[in-house]
Amino acid sequence: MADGALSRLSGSPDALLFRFLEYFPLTEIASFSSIAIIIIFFITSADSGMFVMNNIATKNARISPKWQTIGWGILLAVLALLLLNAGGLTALQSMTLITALPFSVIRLLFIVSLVKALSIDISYYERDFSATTIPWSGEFWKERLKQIISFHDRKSVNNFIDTTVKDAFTELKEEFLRNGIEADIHSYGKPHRIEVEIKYDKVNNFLYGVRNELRIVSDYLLREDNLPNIEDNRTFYPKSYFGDDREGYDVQLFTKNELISDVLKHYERFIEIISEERNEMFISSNANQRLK
Amino acid sequence: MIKLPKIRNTLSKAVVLPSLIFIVGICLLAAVYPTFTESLLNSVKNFIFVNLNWIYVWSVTIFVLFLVYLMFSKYGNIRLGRNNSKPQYSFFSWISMLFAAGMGIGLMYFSVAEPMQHYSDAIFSGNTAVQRAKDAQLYTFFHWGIHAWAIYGIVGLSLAYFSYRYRLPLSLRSCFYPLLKDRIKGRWGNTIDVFALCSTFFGITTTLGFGVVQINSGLETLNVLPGSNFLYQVLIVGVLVSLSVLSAVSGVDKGIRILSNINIITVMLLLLFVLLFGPTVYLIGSFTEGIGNYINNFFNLTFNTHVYEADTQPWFYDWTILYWAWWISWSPYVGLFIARISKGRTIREFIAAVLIIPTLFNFIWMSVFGNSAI
Repeated sequence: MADGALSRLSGSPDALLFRFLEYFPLTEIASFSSIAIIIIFFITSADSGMFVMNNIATKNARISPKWQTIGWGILLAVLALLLLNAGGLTALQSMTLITALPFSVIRLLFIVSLVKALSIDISYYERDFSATTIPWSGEFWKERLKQIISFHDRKSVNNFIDTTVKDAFTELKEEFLRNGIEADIHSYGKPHRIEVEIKYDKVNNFLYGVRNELRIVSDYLLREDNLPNIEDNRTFYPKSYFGDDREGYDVQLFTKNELISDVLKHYERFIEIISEERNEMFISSNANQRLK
Repeated sequence: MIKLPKIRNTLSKAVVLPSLIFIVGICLLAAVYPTFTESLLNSVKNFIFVNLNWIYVWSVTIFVLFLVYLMFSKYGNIRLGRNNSKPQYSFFSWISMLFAAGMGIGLMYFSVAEPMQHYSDAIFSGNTAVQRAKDAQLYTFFHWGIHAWAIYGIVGLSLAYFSYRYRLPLSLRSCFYPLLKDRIKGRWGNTIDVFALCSTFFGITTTLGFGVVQINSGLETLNVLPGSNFLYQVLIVGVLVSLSVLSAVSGVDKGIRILSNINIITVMLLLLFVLLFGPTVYLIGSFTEGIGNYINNFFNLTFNTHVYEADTQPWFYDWTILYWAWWISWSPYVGLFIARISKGRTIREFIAAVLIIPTLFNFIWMSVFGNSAI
């Protein structure tokens, strides 16, 4: 609009706004309003600025003595003037440049902090019920309660694996045999585990196992009064695992029959998958080799 | 033994003492050796410009990309507060407060000055007038747009998230809770606060400095003052700071809020005034094109460090890097404000609103003033 006339004045930027307004009607009113705007901005910025400074300086104290706020105001004014005197606006800008540098690194740490917190946040609220609670009907609730609030040591989990799990697998194997399917049971140590395996020639073997797994529990549980005693935050639990390395889960709350049902659930899923034609390329028997 | 009366205060010594030492130190230096201070500051400034500019470029880039990612990810659904809480302010009030957050002295000072300076800078004299005009607008948008608000947004988001959802106090040190746990109450937290305090302090003084200089100029134009020099600026600062202190101390919260509202209305009127009496159709057109240009060049601008163009590098330092530093030092201030008003919003809403609304307003403002001036 000024057709580049104002560019001659770019050397004195502070006056530019007002020169610019001269091209408009009602220049005086516009200039006056502009100054009023800047003045009010100044006052509101300084005012809230003092509060923010005080806020940070007093670690969020609710009420502070008045002289503190005044002190910040005076300090702001004095410093602004001294730096203006020393080097003009560039001096002020230089100080900003210098002090902002460490702060920008701190802000990058904010991001790290946020990422950590957000992922915990999401998993906290998205957490579903344990797989073992699915068959619960309301019977055996007293046993279940006892199970829930007990935390096991290595020995009792091994015991669970050697009794309940082993019995379940053995019964299952016999039933499979009666139906013409050959299943094997293997047990290993380190970590103590037992698995039932159905071998196939042309597709992956079906595998369902239970192993003794370590879990470190939070310190809160150790300190909390209203829970049964645990000594150590290293606890153990029986965890299921599968032939295709899907994530397993805690099975200590299963009764023998429920465990058998769980194995059959996975077996049914397995049969469904291998019966689909398009899965052929994914489940060839080559995959068995890595299990050895 | 004489016992000195203990002055009652709520200051946290660990935070205030180091900060004050630094601030007062600078004050004394500037007061007693002004020329030395100036040259010292200049050399430090140049050192940072030449050697450390990449810290600024990278951190701002990361801020922007992170916020955009969060907005589109599943984390966007997380609410800044309890899961079933409602937003504290109605949508309209929230948006208008965000609008207001974007305004300030900087807008008044740079709205005409910046596009003009980009347009007429000798570095770009090789380009055509049209190209220079478009670039002037582009760079202005770049400095006042999404990047600036991403800088504020990161602080605002962190503050809001940790204070409303984790029920920690609304302060910067709470943002480190996942990393430091309870140590945020101790030395680490204090260190963070010291840096934040110093950074904010100098950011505010810079803004006040610009304000003073411009007021001085304006009063000279209106013939209220005979000239522009340091003495008058001292006067102006004295008067205005006293007014601010008065209002802060008398606790006239209402007064400040009314004043702010009046200001916002006046600003809008001024904007409409320039829009109507200026080349209206041209302004609307250039605003539209400007947005297109900005979106188009967004990544280009974000990552550009001018290493291949040595002659434009000083310009880059003087403008872009300084702006990033200025916004970073303002971010505790603005971040705190936007955190306060956003309780109950989801992360997605928060980021979308903070990145878009004030940016739009800034663009409108810069277009109207900048392009009329060119």
